[in-house]
Amino acid sequence: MSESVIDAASGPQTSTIDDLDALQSQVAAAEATIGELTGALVEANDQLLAVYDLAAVRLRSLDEDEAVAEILCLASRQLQCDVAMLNGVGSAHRTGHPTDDDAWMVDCGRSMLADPSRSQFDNGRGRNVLAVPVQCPADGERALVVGRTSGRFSTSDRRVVEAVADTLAGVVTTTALHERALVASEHDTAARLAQGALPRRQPEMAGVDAHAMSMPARAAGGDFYAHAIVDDALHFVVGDVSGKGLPAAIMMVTLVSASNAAIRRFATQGPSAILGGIDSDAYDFLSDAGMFATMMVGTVWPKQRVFQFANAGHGPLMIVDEHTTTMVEASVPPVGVLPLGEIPTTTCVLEPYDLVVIGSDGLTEQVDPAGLMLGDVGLADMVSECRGRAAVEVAAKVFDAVETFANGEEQADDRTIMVLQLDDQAHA
Amino acid sequence: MPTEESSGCQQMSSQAKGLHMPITSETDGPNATCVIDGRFDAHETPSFRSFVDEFHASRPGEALRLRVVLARTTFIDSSGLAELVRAMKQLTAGGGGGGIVLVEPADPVLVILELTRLSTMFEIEEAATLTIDTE
Repeated sequence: MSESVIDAASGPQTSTIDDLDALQSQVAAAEATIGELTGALVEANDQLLAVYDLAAVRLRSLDEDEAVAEILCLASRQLQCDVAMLNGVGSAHRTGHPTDDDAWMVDCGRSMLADPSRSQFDNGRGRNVLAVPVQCPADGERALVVGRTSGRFSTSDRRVVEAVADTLAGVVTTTALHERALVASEHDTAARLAQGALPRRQPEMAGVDAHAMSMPARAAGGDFYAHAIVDDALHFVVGDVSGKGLPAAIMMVTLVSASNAAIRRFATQGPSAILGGIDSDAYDFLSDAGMFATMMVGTVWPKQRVFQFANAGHGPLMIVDEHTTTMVEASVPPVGVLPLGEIPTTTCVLEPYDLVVIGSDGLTEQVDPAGLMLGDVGLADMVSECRGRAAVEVAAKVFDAVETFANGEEQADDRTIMVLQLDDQAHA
Repeated sequence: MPTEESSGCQQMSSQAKGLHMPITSETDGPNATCVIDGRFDAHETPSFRSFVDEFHASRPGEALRLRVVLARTTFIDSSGLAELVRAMKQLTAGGGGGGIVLVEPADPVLVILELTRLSTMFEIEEAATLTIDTE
C-alpha cells in the first residue's frame, strides 16, 4: 500500500482516491488469482472425475470396440476435442465427425510412433493435434490422436491424454487376453470331447484279460486306442498323434475311425495288413497337416497263445515273462512320414500271465520336480513287478506310480496304457 | 507431412531384452544351419517352422540343404519330431539334392529317433568317435 501523505495543495481527498485506486487494483489482482486458482481446482477436479470415468469404462466392458469408443468419447469431451482416434496395425477407432484433416491426423500418429519425442502437431490452419503411444503387449503399439481447433494442448491436457492412453492399453490388452482365454477354453473343451471317440468298453474275450485307459493332459495330446474282436482274435491299435491340442485331437478322432475300419477290413490278414490299411486311409491327411502318428497294431489268438504285432514308431512296448522284461522296438517309422511300404510282423507265443504292456510317451516322458524323466527303464521297473496281477490292476498301478513319480509336477502329455495277458482259459 | 514440435517425452522401446533363444540359425545361399539348444518341443517349434518356411521361400526352385545341429538338444517330443519331418518333406519335395541333415544328435534325441524308426528316414551325421591310444 502506498504511503498516505496529506498535501496542503491537493488536500486529503486526492490522496484517498489514489489509495482507493491502488486498493481496487490489488483486489482485482487478488480476484484474478482466486479465479485462476478456482479454474485450476475445477480443472483438477474435472480431470479426477475423468479418470474415475475411465476406470469405470475399463471395469464395465469386455467388448473392445464398445469400451474404446466410450473412452474416446470421454477424452473428446474432457479435452474439448472434435476428433479422437486410436490407430494400430489392422485396427482403427474414431469419434467425432469426419474432417478434411483426418488423413493428416493419422500421419501425426505414425510420426509420433516413429519418434515418440514428437507429440504435438499443428497443420498451420488452426488444427492442433496431440498424439501419444498406447502400449498394447498383446498386439503391438498403437497411437492415440486427439485433435481440436480451439487452441494448443496444455501440459495438463497432456496428462489427461496419457491417462486415457494407459486406460486404452489396459482395455485392449484385457480384451485380447480374454478372447485368447476363451479360444483356449473352447480348444480345451473340443479336445476333451474328442476323448469320446475312445471305446467305452474294455475288450472282453475268453482267455484274454485286457484293459486300456487314457488320461488326457491339460493341453490334450493325441493318444488313442481302438479294439475289436473278430473271429477268434482280439485286434487292437494303440497310437499317439504328434503335437498337442485341437489339431492332435481332431487327428486322433480320424485315426480311431480309420483303425476301426481297418480292423473290420483286414482282421483276417493280421496286424501288418491292418496297419497298412490305416496308413492308406490316413497318410495323406496326416502328411498334409504336417503331422504323424505312432501306432502299434496287435492281434492275440488266445486259443493258439499267439500274439502278433506290427509297430510303426510307437513306444514303449514291453513284454514281461516269468524271467525278464523285454523292450520291443518299432519295426517301421510312424504313419504319415512316408508311405509305409512293406510292414514286418513280429510273432510271439505268450504263456499265461505274460504281460504285454503298451504305453505312450506321456508315461515315459513324465518328469519329477528335479526335472528327471521317468524313461523307458523307469516304466519297465514298474511293470516288471506286476506279473500275476489283473490287467486293470496293472494299468492302475502304473498310473499311480507315474503320478507318485511326478510328485506334483504337471502332466505334460496324455498318458495311455493298454495291458493284456492270457489267463488260464487260454490254451495252446 | 505434419509439422511437429518436440514434447520432450521419453522414448519407449518395445525391444525384448535378455530372452534366451534356444534356436539360432544362419543362411549362406542355398545352405542353412540351425542350432537347437535345450528342449525342442511345442514351445520352440513355431520359430523353427518360421525359419524353415522363410529359407524355403527365399530361393524358389533351388535345391536347399538344411543342417540341424542337435548336439546340445536335451529333449525332443513328437511336436519337435513332426517339425523335422515337415522340414525334410519341404526341402526334398523339389528333388535335385535338397534335404535336411541332422548333425550330431545328442543321446536323448538319437534314442527317440531310433525308437520311432525315424532314424531310417533322416540323413544323420553322428559325432566322430574319439579313439585314445593308451600305448
